[in-house]
This record gives sequence, structure tokens and C-alpha cells, in this order.
Amino acid sequence: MRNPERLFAALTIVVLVSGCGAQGPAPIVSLADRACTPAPSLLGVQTLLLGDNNKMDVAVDASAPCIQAPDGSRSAYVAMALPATSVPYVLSVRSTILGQTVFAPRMELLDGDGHVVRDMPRSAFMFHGASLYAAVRSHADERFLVVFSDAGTVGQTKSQVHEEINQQTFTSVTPTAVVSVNVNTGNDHTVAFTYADNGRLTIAATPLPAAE
Amino acid sequence: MVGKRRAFRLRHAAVCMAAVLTLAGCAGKPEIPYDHSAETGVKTIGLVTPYSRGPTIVLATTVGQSFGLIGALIDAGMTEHRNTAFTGLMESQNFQANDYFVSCLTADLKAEGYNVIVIPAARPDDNFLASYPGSDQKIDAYLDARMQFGYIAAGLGHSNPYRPAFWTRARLVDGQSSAVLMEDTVMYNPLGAPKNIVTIAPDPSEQFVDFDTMMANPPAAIAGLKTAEAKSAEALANLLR
Repeated sequence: MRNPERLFAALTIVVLVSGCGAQGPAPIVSLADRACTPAPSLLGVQTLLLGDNNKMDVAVDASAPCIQAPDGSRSAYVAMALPATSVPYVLSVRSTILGQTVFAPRMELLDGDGHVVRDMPRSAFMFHGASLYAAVRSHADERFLVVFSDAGTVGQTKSQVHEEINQQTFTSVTPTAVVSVNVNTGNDHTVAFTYADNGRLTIAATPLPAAE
Repeated sequence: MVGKRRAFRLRHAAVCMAAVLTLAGCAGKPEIPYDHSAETGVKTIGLVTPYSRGPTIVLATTVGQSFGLIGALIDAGMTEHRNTAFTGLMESQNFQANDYFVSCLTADLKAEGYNVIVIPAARPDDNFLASYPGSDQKIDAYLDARMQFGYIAAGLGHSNPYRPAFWTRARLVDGQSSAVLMEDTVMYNPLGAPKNIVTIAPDPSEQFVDFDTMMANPPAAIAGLKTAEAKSAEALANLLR
């Protein structure tokens, strides 16, 4: 009788789907204990650079600055200066679901004097897989981007059904041959998360893509 | 003749399955955002009627996928059978997926403040039109949308029910300059977590444990499709806000 180890010397399992069960920070849904200002500070903010390789990943956590609106609502924010370029580009903001937390974004574009030129409400951010995403074309008069947490959305919870395909590759090594078999299996799971004042943002300024 | 038709249907089934599986893993084509504040002249949109090759009922993972070409052919044959059966279900309910999508999109665009003129177009294939038909009325921009629809189950078993799915890739083209003002993809009930497309999670109340259960309840099967189309149209209109 052959040694089973010779017949099945290798077993390789490749799971293509990643991110399942990802851990994230606990959602922050109140900024009551923070010292907030009436308007965002634009002093000393980082400058976003143009290009696919210059995306900025920003962790918005308990140390993030915040504003308090006249109605008393509070929002955490991230501010940055926009690229100093005359080349038209696409400015995109992505808020990624981290475990059970997702930053609830809305954004404003400001001119050099700090006046709001354009705003994108929370509803402009639509799901792109496991993140909320919105993009705008650049305007020459816009100098700063401020991404706020949307006070009207923070604290709301949502659950989504996700369907995935897992691929497993089983490889058997025999004295005379190596046999690999791919086995695909489907998987449904429900993701539940809370819109929060914290999370992770990815902000990018990329050249306008060509149409299909 | 029958053989040719069957070959076409098998090819259609294989293409549909490949498209769905590709969508599951791909990053998608580029997204071109609309600049509403810069395009203040766009008030009347010519909505070109979309092309559709009919319903696709996909079982995304099967045993056959592990057995090369033979398995793929068997899968394509089973998909063709499901597609044909579901086409019959739609006919029994007098449901035209294209017309429903156009009516939803028209209502959503009007809600965004646009005038909408539906422009019937004969399409040779599932591509954007190279040029746009004229109209008696002034068209500021053309909205050209491609679509696919059907049901998807991620795999076998009751834990992988059939849920409605809808895919549209659309672009808005300037009526004068032919510049592409917006281009994007919306998918209801995507497989995986694609990044460069707008995704809409399915309504968990609209699902069927298996294909036979779905076929036994035509009104509910059509209701699921309507939800997928309505939500997708709403998202597409939102891109033009």
C-alpha cells in the first residue's frame, strides 16, 4: 500500500477573497467631549499631490479636529490643500469600512480665502464595494478640500448582503505527476456597520481618465 | 438552423457567465465624474434606449467549473436552460426589462430637474453607440446606457439563494461636441467587492432558495428585478446630480 503522504504530498489552499472578518476601530458616534471650533483650520494642512501614486491614506481617530455648527451639531474633519496645477484632474474621496465602522463623509471645496465654493453631501457618496466613494472634477478656483463627518448620518447602522466567490486550488503530487484542481465555492455573508466620526479616508487627485 | 440558434444561445450563456465572473474580480473601467456646476447648459437629456441580450440566470460557482472545457459546456447549457425558462416567466408577466429601466431612469432624471426625451435606437450589439440619432427637439446631451439583468446565486445550497442582479454602464455625451461628460458603472448585487463601480447591496427580503422556487413565483421574481432596476436607475441619476 502506498504511503498516503506520497499520494497527497501537497495541499495548497488559496482563498482569493480577502477582508473577511476584518477588524476595525470601535465607532465613535459622539464628539461631545471634544473641543471643537466654529470653522475648520486650514493652517499648515498637508498638500495633496497629483498622480496615481500620491494617494493619501488618513486615519480619522479620536485626535481628529472637529467643528461645531451653529445648530450645535459636531463633525470631525480632515483638511488638505489641493494640488497647485493647471492640469484638470479628478479629486476622489474614499471612506473604507473597517470592521463595524465607516466614516460618514461629506465634503466641501474652498477657495484660497476659505470660502465654500462647492459641497458634496453625504448622499453623493455611493458604495463602491466595501467603501463609500465620491469624485469631482477639479475647478481652478478651489484650493482646499475639507472632508467632514456628516452629523445627520453618524450613529446610523446599516447591514449589507455580500456575495463572493472563493477559489481553492488542491494540488496532489504523485511520483509521476502533479495534479491541480480548482474548486470554486460561493459564499454569502452579511456585513453590519455603523456610520461614525472615525474611520479611514483615502484621498487622491488623478488625471482625468479617457472615456471607453 | 436550430443547431445554429442553440450554438448562439450557448455562446450567449458562456459570455454572460464570463462577464459576471469577470465583474466579480475586476477593478472595473474608469469612472468619469460629471461636473454639474460646469455643465449648466445641460437641461435636456436624450435618453437612448438600451440594448439587452435578455435575462441571465447565473449560478456563479458549480462543480462543472472544476472540470475544464467539458464542465464549462455543461454549465453553459444549464445556464441557457435557466435563461430560456426565465424569459418565458417574463413573457408570462408581460415584463420588459428595458422599458422598465427607461421608465425608472426617466422619472429619476426628471426628479433631478432634467427634461428627458426618450430616443429609440437600434443597436447592433452591446456597445455604446458611435453616433446618436437626431431629434426634432434640441438635445443638450445623450445618455447612452448598456444593461444586463437577471438573477445570481453565488453557489449551491440554501445558504446561497438566487437574488436579482442588474448591471448598467452609462455615459453622458455632449450633444454638440461629443465630449464624454460622465461615464460610470452601476451594479446591483455585485459578486465580490469591486472598487471602481457603484455597487448596491441586494434587498435580503427578495431572494429564492433555488431556481425552481423562483420559477414557481413569477410575480415575486419580477418584483425583485424591478427593485434592482429602480435602485440602479436612482444611482445613475444620482451621478448626474
